[in-house]
Amino acid sequence: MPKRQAQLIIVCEDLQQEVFARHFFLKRGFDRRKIRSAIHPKGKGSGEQGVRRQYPQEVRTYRRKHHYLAINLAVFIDADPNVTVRQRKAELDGALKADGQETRQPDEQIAVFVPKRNIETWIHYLMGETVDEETAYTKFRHESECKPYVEKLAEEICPAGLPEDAPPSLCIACEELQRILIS
Amino acid sequence: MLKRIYIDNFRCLVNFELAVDPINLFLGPNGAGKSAIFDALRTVQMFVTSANQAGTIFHSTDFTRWQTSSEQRFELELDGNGGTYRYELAITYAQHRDLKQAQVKHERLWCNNDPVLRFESGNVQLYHDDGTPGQQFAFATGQSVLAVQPSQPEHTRLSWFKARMERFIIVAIDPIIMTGQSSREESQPSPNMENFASWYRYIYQDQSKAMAITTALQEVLDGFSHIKLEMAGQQHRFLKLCFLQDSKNSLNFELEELSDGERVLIALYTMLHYARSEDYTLCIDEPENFLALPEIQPWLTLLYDLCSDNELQALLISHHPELINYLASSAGYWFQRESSAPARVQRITADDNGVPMAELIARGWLHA
Repeated sequence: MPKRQAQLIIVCEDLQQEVFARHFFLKRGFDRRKIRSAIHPKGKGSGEQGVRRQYPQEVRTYRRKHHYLAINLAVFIDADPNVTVRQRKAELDGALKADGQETRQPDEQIAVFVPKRNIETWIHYLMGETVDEETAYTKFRHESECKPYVEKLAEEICPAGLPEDAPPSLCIACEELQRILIS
Repeated sequence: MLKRIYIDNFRCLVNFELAVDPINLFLGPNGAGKSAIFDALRTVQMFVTSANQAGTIFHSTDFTRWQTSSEQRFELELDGNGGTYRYELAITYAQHRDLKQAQVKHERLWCNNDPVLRFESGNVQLYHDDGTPGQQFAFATGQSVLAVQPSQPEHTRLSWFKARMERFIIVAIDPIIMTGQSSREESQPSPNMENFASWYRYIYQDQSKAMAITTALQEVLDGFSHIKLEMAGQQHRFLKLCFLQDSKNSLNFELEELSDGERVLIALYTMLHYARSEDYTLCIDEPENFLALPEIQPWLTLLYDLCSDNELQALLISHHPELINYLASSAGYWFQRESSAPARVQRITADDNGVPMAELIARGWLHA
């Protein structure tokens, strides 16, 4: 696969999301040297808050630069059990409005990925387990354990379309992906 | 892979023990003992892999200043070759006229708790691979038995361990003294990588490695084409880097003509692509020194991926926010030390703070 020349900024909550996202995008042809990750501090809830705080600044910078630079912005933020993916995205839109910015436009290469309940839900699903979006699945000792499954997602599952039993948040994420992969 | 280090009575390391993972980041104030670990590892490596006398490798000035014991102890535990190897070395110092001379009190090696080598009080007992006692002989206490014992078919575990000890690369890269001149091949980079050309000359014998390094550097250095070793007499070589000007023309640069940062990039990517998939342990003190900010994360994520795929092991020392924010929560160790007290280390755990880890450290709040 030829390397994509566009830059990709990954904004995420923790190293597990970062390893998942970076590995996925490397497999989809992004150049390692053009991927820049901004991980927000770990902790109970603080990663999600950190991403939400950072989001308007990232979008503002993207809007200033994307006219003359090929940039993609990939944002990863968990949806807790009492929050839907739609609500989480609405919160991010709200953060933009509060910052005096327009909400995300359809032609912007800004993708928001909202794993519900968290990224481990997706990984356990990709490992072949039956999952729901309420259970807090076990974290992995090493973040890189997800890589073979992410590879499968990038190279086999995504191009063929997700199976019916896929977590709904992962299905929505696949739609979001088009914002980036189309560029 | 290195699993555990134990060091006693070496500089500020007293009864010091550390279990390590595929990738590790040592953090802490200056003088907390981070680099002392690398120096201790290098000292043991030199002892085990060279036939040099203990007196030329171990120095009484490396004793912990406030300790009265005249014995230094080192233990390493390594996984590989189908087992867990434990190496133990005790060095004592005997007075010879005005000088304190280092000598071996004991040198022992086990594999899966079965003895492989026992060297105590000048007597050596070797064990065959099946665990049965083998050769017994007297040996002077000034050298490592491992270092001088030739490879033998019945002692493959001993040979494996010695070869594995050669696969530690322990460096603090100083581009200012890196030279492009070489008078011979050298299988190891020197502590500050000043012998880069000689080391590359050695690597160059393996064309697949040289090609992998070239390809990696083409992605990193704009216009870079290849490295060449120009003959300068029978023994000497000059390492030159060829950069393309256009499709027909190129320019050759001596290593010394490149910037400090470019030389560090060359050293860092050479290490990764030389050592990957070969069960190496890289110990790099402040790898980010001299690098432009956008260069740090791509190298770091490549290293992280190689380590997490078990293609490499890395022990890093850094004070840089890029490394701290990326690795500290998952692979960080915090070193600290009071004046005239031994180094202490603890694993860094994720916390509930909203402030980035590097900022917490800068404020002195990490364990406050």
